[in-house]
Order: sequence, then C-alpha cells, then structure tokens
Amino acid sequence: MNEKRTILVIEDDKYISHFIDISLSKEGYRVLVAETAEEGMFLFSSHRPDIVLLDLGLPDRDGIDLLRDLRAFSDVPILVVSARGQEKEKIVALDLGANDYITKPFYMGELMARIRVSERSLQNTEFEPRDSQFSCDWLTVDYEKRKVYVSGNEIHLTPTEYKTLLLLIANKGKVLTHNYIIRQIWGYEGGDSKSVRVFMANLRRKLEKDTAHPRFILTEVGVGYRFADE
Amino acid sequence: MRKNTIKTILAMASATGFSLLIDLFGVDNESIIMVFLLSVLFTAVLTSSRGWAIGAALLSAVLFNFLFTEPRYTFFIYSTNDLMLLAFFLVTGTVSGTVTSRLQREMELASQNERTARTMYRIASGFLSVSSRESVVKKAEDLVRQYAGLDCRVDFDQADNEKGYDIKSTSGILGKLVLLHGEPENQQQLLIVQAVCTQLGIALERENLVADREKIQLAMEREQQRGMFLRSVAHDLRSPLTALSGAGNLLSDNYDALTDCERRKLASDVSEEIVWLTDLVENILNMTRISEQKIVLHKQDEVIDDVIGEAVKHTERLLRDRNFQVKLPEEVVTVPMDGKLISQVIINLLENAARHTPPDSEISLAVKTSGNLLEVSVADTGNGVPEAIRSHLFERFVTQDERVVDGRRGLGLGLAICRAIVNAHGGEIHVEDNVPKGSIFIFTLPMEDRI
Repeated sequence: MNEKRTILVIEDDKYISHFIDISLSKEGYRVLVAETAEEGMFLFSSHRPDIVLLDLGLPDRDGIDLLRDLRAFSDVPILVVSARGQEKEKIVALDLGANDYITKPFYMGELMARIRVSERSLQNTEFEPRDSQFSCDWLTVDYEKRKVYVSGNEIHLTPTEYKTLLLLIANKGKVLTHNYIIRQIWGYEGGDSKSVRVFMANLRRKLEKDTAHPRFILTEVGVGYRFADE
Repeated sequence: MRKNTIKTILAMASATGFSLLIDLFGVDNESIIMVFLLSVLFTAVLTSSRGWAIGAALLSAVLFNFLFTEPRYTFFIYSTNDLMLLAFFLVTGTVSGTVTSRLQREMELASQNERTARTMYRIASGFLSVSSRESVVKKAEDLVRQYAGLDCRVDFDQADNEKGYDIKSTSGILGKLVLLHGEPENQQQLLIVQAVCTQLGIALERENLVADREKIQLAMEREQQRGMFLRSVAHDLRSPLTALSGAGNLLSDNYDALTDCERRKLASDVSEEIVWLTDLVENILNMTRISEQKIVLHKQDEVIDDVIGEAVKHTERLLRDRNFQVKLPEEVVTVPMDGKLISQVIINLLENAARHTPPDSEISLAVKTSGNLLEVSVADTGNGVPEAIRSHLFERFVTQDERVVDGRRGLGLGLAICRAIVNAHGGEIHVEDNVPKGSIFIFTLPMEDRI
C-alpha cells in the first residue's frame, strides 16, 4: 500500500469515534471524523474518501437516508456500524447498497478485517485480477475446467451450485442478503428465501467438513450468507 | 270462555245423564239433587270461576225442575217438598260453588307465585356460575329466551333514544337490554326481563370489580418484579464495572510504571469483562422484550444448521477447552422460527452447560426430528441440576446457590428467556437426567407452522 487510504467515520458518539480514529490511524489510514450527517456529507464531497464508516443513529438525520443519498452518486464502499441489531435493518441497509454491516459492540479486529475486505474489493474493481483458480484450505476451484476439489477429491456441483459458489467467492468477506443471492442466481426478485437456505445448506454439506463449524460459508442468521475471507 | 262453556256443559250433561239413569231405578229426588250439587262443585273446580259455578247451579235447578219434579217435563212444581229442595239446592250450590272456585283460584295463584319465585331464583343463581363479561351477557340473553321466550341483546353503547331496559348498577347505567321482537306480552314476562336486567347489572359490576382487582394485582406483581430485577441488575453490574474502572485507572495513571506484560493483562481483563457485560445487556434486552408480552416473532423457514452454527460461533470462546460435540441430522431440515431468538436459546443452554459444569465434563449438542417435532438437546456430564431449584428452574431469577455472597451469579434470566422463546414458538422445554451423570436440556419446535 503506497498511498494512504482515507476513511470517513460518520459517528456521533465521541468515545467510539475516538477509538476508531486511533485504531485506524495506527494502521496507517487517514481518518476523517464527522459527528452529523450534514458534516459527513460535506467532508465526503470535499475529501472523496475511499471508505465510509456510517453510524445509523445520527442526531440530524437517519443514517439510512444518508446511505441512500450517498449511493445515488457514489460507489464508495460503505460499512454500516450500528447498535441496531435487528435483521430487518441490516437487510434494508445491505439492499440499499451498504457493503457490510457491523453491530455494536464489535471488536476492533473484526472492524479492521471488514475494512480490509472493502479495500480488496476496491483493488478488484481497479485491476480485475482473474486467477485461473481459487484455493483456500481444503477447497480448490478451477475456473477454467469448472471443477471443484475438496481435499484434492473432485466433487460434483450442479450448475446453479457452481454459479453460487463463484458468486460467494467473488464477494468473499461481504454479506450477501437472501434477496441479492436470489436476484443474482435465479434472476428474479422477492423469491422465497427458504429455497435459498436449503440450497445453501446442501452446498455447505458438499464443501464443509463440519457443518456446525462452517469454514467457508458463514451464515448471518436472518440476513444472508458470507464467504469467509481469510 | 269457550273452554269454560264446554266444561260446564260436560259437567251438566254427565250429571243429567247419571240422574236419569238412577231415576230409572226409583232413586229419590233428594239423592238426585246431590248429583247435581256435585256437578256444580265440579264446575267450580274446573273453571275456578264463581260466575260459572252460580250459572251451573241455576241451570241445574232448571234441569231438575224440568226433568225430575212432578209434573215432569214442565216447569211447574206441585209439591212444597220439591220447592224447598230446589230453594235449598240453589243456596247451597251458589255458596259452595263460590267458595270452591275461590279456593281453586287461590291455589292456582299460589302455585303461580311459587313458579315465579323459582324462576327468579334460577335467574339469580344462573349468574353465579359464570365469569367473564362475555359469558355473563350471553347468560342474560339465554335466560330471557328460556324463561320469557323473548330474543334480546345487550347493548353497551348507550344510545339514549334506543328503546330497552336499563341495566343499572351502583356506578350508574351500564347498558341496555334490547328486545329484538316486540315487547313483553304479560306481567310475567316483564317481570323476568326486569329481573334479568337487575341481576345482569349486579353480575357485570362483580366482573368489573374482579377485573380491577386483577389489574391491581398484576401491576403490583410487575412492580415487585421490576424492583427485584433492578436490584439484581445493579448488583451484577457493580462488580464488572468496578473491575473495569479499576483496570482503566491503573492503565491511564500508572502506564509507565507497569510492565508490558501487566498492561497486556489489564487490557485483556477489560475486554473480557466487557464481553460479559455485553452478554448481560443482551439478555436484559431480550428479557424486557419478552416480559412486556410483545414478543414479536419474525418467523422464517430456517435451516437448523445455520442456527446451530450461529450459536456455536457465539459460544466458541467458552467451549474452546471443552470436549464439545455437535450432532446434526443427515438431511437438511428447515423449521419455521425466529432464527435469532432460537439461536439465543441454544447459546443460553450452551453457556449454562459451560458455566455450571466442571472443566473436564463433556458437552454435546444434538438435533433430531421426531414426527412433527424438531428436538434440540444440550447434554453435559456435570453434576446435574441441584434438587432445590429443579422444580422452578425455568422461572426468572433462579440461580444456583453459591456460597460466595459476592460471587458472580448471573441474573438467572437465561432459562426463563429460553422458555419464553420456545413457548412462543409453540414448543416445549424441559430438563432430564443424563445417564450416568449430568443433565440434558431438551427443547422441541413444531416443524410446521400451525398458524
């Protein structure tokens, strides 16, 4: 990383923004802190940050509105940080285009990992690296031959399962809502999320060694799925 | 009127017939007139009317005169004896007829009064056995239908212009009893309707009082529980907060004096305490959500693997050093549930198992289907549930009695939350003994939504 990434933190709680500021600065990021939505909008337009950390409970406006406004003109990665733990709100934020969602209280290490994921997605859009295969622990996916290996043994995936696995890998580290997966794989909206769950459970049984401790396909209960990023 | 005419004619005709018959055998006029006297009494009893009795006496006199006095079949009387007989007959017949009919009327009145009293009693006691407003109202409608034969409904929206009978109580008019088809035809029906109104008023007032008392009692209980809850929370918050502020102070004030290792230890203590506090807050939030009776289930068909995975992810830290095993069903099972809440149930059970068993015991989580139920069980090989708290294990604020007064004990909310969540899903939760040692917490969930 030769240039310093700029992160805009929109958060009204001083203690939280303070420790986020310190931790991120230590990691070598440039940090901007805004306490209100208005200030956040101003800093966003004047500094063009690379990543935005957005709190939903802001004093002047709802964070969701701000998210909608930002998405109207920018594709910048937005990580929502909120104490609202309800799945519905997570889904709303993710469907509106937030890249990730972190519930308070969180561990700094986790926040860092999520920020790194967003960074990687930035690089991906910049350089479009296309390896001929993906490999992680015991899972290997050969893109050219369209083959999937678990511990070196080839396993059979249906075309849809393969497509889903590619989608998950392409977005690894990011939460994909049930709706998003339905839209991407089956191509229509508002399908029933039960079939996605069953489908994912089947895929997981083919890939995972211990389905109770999944290594790759992690569930965000009530929200969607995330492919382990490291 | 018509009935009485027929009765009188019948009595007269049979008396006449019988008299003619015994006349053939040469019976005296004195005996024959007795037959007529008897028929006058019969008429009085049958019609219970003085007029008809006197009429019958007069008619009897005419018939007797025409048929049995010499010269026969004329209205003349030759013998003074017959004249006297007729005169006495008239007097006796009139007097006894009058007396008998009056007696008869009074008897009827008495039995009618008795019937009324019985009805009133039934109406009054009918309300004793019913409770709740709806059933009291229904009872009133039934009683009016049964005893007065009238259809009615009870109207609580007081439209003043509406016709009906007021349902009064000491606190004013509660509503109106409205008859659906016409008005009561007689005094009896009116009396019943009014009696039902009165009793309904009393019953409704009783219901209101009971409801008020229940409300007050509930409020008192809630207040008491709130007090207990706050005391527990305050107690449980105080010790971690003390530890936190102590460690924080130490770090900020004596940072340079501490060794690197000490700093690290303090910092990790702080974060561990905070994890504990977070769990506590989560449980308190869940509890308030549940105890306010506003438990809103966001049910979706969840694959049980996902929910178990979520719970295991949360408890991994606690179970790291334990012998912990998970057994999932072979096939993919989906169950309608609020995934977040059910995983909270499993988390609570796993945490309990980890917290209340010695470090060398085994903990296992198993899921299986049996019939229409999904069964999730958390088994351990610890020391089992103490007998003292066994019967009320799933109630609130039940904690294991630890000898240390100031020890950390937890709020005793975990299992209460589990029960509330499982019950809200239409399932059951209970504890069994694990053979040969330890205990198994088992909860079930219906696999199909019955709603």
